[in-house]
Amino acid sequence: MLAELPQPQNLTLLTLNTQYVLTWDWDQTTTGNSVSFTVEYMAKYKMKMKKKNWSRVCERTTRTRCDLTGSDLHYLGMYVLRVRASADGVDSDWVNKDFCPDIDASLGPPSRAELAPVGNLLDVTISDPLTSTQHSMKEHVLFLYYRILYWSRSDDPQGLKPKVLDSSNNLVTPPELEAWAWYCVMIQSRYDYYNKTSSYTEPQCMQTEGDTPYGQIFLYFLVSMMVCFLLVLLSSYAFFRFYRGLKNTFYPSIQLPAHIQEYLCDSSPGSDMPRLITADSEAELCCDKLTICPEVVLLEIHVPPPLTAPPSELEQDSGRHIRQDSGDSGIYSTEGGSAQQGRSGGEPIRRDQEVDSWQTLEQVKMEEMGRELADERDLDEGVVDVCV
Amino acid sequence: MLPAPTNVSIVSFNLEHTLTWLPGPETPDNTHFTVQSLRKNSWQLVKGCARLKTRQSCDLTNTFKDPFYHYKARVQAITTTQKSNRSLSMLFYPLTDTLLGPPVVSVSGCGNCPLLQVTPPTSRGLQRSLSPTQLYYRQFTCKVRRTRDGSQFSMWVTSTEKTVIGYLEPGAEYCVTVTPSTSFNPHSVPSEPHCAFTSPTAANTVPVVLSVLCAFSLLVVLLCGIVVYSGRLLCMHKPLPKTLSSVPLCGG
Repeated sequence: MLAELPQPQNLTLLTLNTQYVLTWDWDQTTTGNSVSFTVEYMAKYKMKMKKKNWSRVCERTTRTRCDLTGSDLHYLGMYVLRVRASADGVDSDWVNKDFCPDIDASLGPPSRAELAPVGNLLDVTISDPLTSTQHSMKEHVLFLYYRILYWSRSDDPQGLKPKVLDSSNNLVTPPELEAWAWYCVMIQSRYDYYNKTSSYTEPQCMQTEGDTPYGQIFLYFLVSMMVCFLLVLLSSYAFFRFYRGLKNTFYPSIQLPAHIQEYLCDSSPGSDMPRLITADSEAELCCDKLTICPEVVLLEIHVPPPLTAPPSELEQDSGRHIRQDSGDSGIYSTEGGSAQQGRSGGEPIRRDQEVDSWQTLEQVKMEEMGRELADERDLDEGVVDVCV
Repeated sequence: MLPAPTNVSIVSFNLEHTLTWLPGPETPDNTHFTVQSLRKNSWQLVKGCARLKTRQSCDLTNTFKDPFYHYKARVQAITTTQKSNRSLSMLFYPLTDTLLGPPVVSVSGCGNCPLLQVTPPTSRGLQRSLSPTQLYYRQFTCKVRRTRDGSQFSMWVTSTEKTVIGYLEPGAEYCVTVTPSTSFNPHSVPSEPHCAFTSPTAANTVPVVLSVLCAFSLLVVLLCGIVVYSGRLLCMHKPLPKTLSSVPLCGG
């Protein structure tokens, strides 16, 4: 009866660091679905003892695998594992398998690898592979070391000819790297005593740093020099323009003719001279009256005006105006004067002709002004009265 | 009846053992203490520890000779008329209980790869028994710490041979702390950190280049100034040809 049930076949261990999973093959066609398996283990040295106490790991499991990770097998210990199948109250024979984690368990790659640029070199920080309890595998595999493959991405994009470096240190700075170059790194855990090698970590790439290239320094220098030069040039130009403007305003290089300057400078209140600059505002007030000029044309309709001033006075009045305004170089002021004269005079037809003649007259007067200065001094006050 | 001594303990450093205790409360001043050790199932008086005063301790180095054996000691207070009960120490295993002192470390430079040499400390207890010395100080955990950023790693170092600490950053300071490491004795004292610089990197040339550039451009400006100025001077001093002298040329 016992031999009827076949044994599990092909006992295999799937291992990584301290994780151990025992698997086996089972032909489902030989029995129904009700088959179950039992897995036990024992330290190998106890096999010779008379009284054997097997530790049971998986009892009557229906799966064809059993996790031994939680059994806390000593990494350097030697064990015997055994499996049997059970179906319908019938057990198969045990199938034994020797297992020593130190020999059989495969080694995992580093749990983490980090790259950090240090000048023109790279710091490779390697974290040990971890056991199932998150401890370093170096506790079990004392002489664990790493093989670091590194290559420049620009010279060798595929990493076909990497440089190889072996070190058991967790912080490795590969020598002789170039500045400002991308390097890729792959790391493998190794243990020589049992020729264990892990898979490589995924390639990680990082750019090195380093001194700034001379070309770049020169470029920056030139650019900054140009900028400085332009700034200085612009600011000095602006300053020069400003200075010249100021100078031209307050200290013009071309001096006014002496006779004009006399007017400008002589501003003593008591003087009889016409103060050209100070009298400006009053002259402008007179100018406003220019706009009234066309209205005078309307006044033309009301002929004859009732008011008629003595013509002799008017003539004198207008004459004074002309002379005073000519200094201001304004025809308008002249016209203003004429308008006033025309309105008060009440002779509009003759007025137009008078304006023309005054305009020509004015030029003459300007030339004559120097000569007439003495006369105008007498007339000045009268003009002011009229304007206001 | 005298009060019995308390806190009987064996302090051991590098296989040099000392028995210490405290006198019981209200112990008279003229009390003496006597120490016995268990040897071959019989208590024997420890040499030199027959009549110890209150604050004295008993040197057991010569008594607990075999580091692989286990020992016990007991203390009794005695006056001329009275005796106390005997106070027993804990069972003492020299091999595993002794505190391992720091090894002697020397770090010598070899460019970017400091050479580390670790030798066992010299101690009276260790000198006598050679085998535990080899056991204790055969392997060391060596912590290498970079001073710049405090990043560190550990490595295994075996005694008697020089170990190269490879692949370090150039121009950085590294400090090495070595601790004896055995599987059977967890009590150990790390050595003082021994620091060494790796060979320096090439100096940063950027400031040099920049200052050279600055100096050069200054020189150029100066030269230009000199040329212009001297040109003016020459113009003023050299008599112009008669045809040109009529033209107002320089600063005319």
